[in-house]
Amino acid sequence: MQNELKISSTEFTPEVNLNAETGNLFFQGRSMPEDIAGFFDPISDWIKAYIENPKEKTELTIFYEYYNSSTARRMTEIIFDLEILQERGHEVKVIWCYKSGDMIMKENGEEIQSVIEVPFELQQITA
Amino acid sequence: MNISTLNSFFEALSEDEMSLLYSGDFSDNVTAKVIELNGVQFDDGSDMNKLQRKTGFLIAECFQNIVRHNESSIENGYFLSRNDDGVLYIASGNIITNEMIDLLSDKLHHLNSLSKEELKEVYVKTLSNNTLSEKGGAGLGLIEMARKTGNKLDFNFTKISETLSYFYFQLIFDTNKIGEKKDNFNHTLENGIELRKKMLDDHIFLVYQGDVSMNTIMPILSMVEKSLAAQTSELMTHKKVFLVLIEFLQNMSKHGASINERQDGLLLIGEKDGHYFIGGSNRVYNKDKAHLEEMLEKYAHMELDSLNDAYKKVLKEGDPENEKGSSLGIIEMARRSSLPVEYEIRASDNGLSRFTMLLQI
Repeated sequence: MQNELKISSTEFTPEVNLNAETGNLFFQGRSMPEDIAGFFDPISDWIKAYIENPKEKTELTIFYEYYNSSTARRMTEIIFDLEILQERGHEVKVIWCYKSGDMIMKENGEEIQSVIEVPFELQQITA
Repeated sequence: MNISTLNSFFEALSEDEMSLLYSGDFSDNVTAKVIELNGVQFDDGSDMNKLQRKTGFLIAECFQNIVRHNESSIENGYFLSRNDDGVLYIASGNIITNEMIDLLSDKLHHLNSLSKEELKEVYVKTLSNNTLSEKGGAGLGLIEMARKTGNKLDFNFTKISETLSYFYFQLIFDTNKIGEKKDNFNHTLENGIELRKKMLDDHIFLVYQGDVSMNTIMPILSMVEKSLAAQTSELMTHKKVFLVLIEFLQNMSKHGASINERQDGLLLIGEKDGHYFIGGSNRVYNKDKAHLEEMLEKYAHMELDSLNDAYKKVLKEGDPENEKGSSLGIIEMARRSSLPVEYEIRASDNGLSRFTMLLQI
């Protein structure tokens, strides 16, 4: 596994920064790739490798402006992978950021929260 | 706005390689997006080839007509671009004051009467005279359009009041036979005016027909974003419309039949009284028809609560029975819509059916 997986944002794909040294996993921007597997498979592979060799504490920060439904499913799968870490006694936390006033992204976060079982924090970001 | 409106636009445009009809926000940024979209169809791998530059120029000039000269906000500007078998039709529509009619009409008639050499002379003369009209155009734009297309410039004035008229303008650029003058083309200016009327009647501000894959349609998405921002201050409404639009397009390309490496479809967007509608139509393989029908029957009329539950279930468990993983997109569209999803799947020929869908937000 590479220590770091960094992907720059495009108009329709997010910035991704996964760091095995710090345990910080970060997604930001718009995520609506048409080729969902092409975009998310390398990310999921990295996460799968990471959970075999994790930090004591893992923090996943998600700050999306827009995302498509297939992204929602892939992000949920990533969190399910992190649940394995939690079951093994590691600390896992999801921080879901949304821009102040963005009720859609807030509600989307709450929806994902309702299907997962790791600590989940909603954070309102004021620009 | 209903399924039959969608069908009539599909029938009018589906033979085109690409068509765009637009009557939304006309800022310079939108011009750039239209040029970008146009560039895709003449892409030969090189960086801005001759055809891309030439057609881009013509589009920019037509946009300038609209941006610079629309004299009133009582009616939106209009832009049309169609590529039918390599023949590019570009039209604009904007409001002018009635005292401009004679001047414009004389100028256009004059340009149409000139030969290639005479046009060049007029061009050089105008360039050196540098007599700018009060709106900042030297008439050079029109001369350049006449020179570049080699075809007659078509135009029409439709009176809307004692002081104002709607000015329609169309140029035809035959990329197969550049510079050769031809008298008969498939689409007259009147066809374009007819299409605008249909758009007005149904409160449609954008019609696109062509490849609907994300890479091609990216400029359209940016245009829609701009138009939404100009239309309403309801940020969450924009967001919802945009989200649904993405699902809509991705659903179309997921299920769409791929013909000659293209996934063609029709997309139509409109707004009436603060409600937005998104409609589309494309060809699907007959073998995929049953599955698509089954999903739509299941979700189109489901209550919001049940849709939310269904969404969560797929989020959690995935969608093992659905290899394309498209049920989540359909649920998402259905739950964001304010009216039940309307759809139609019609069998057509060659093992293909036509799938049409309409949503309101």
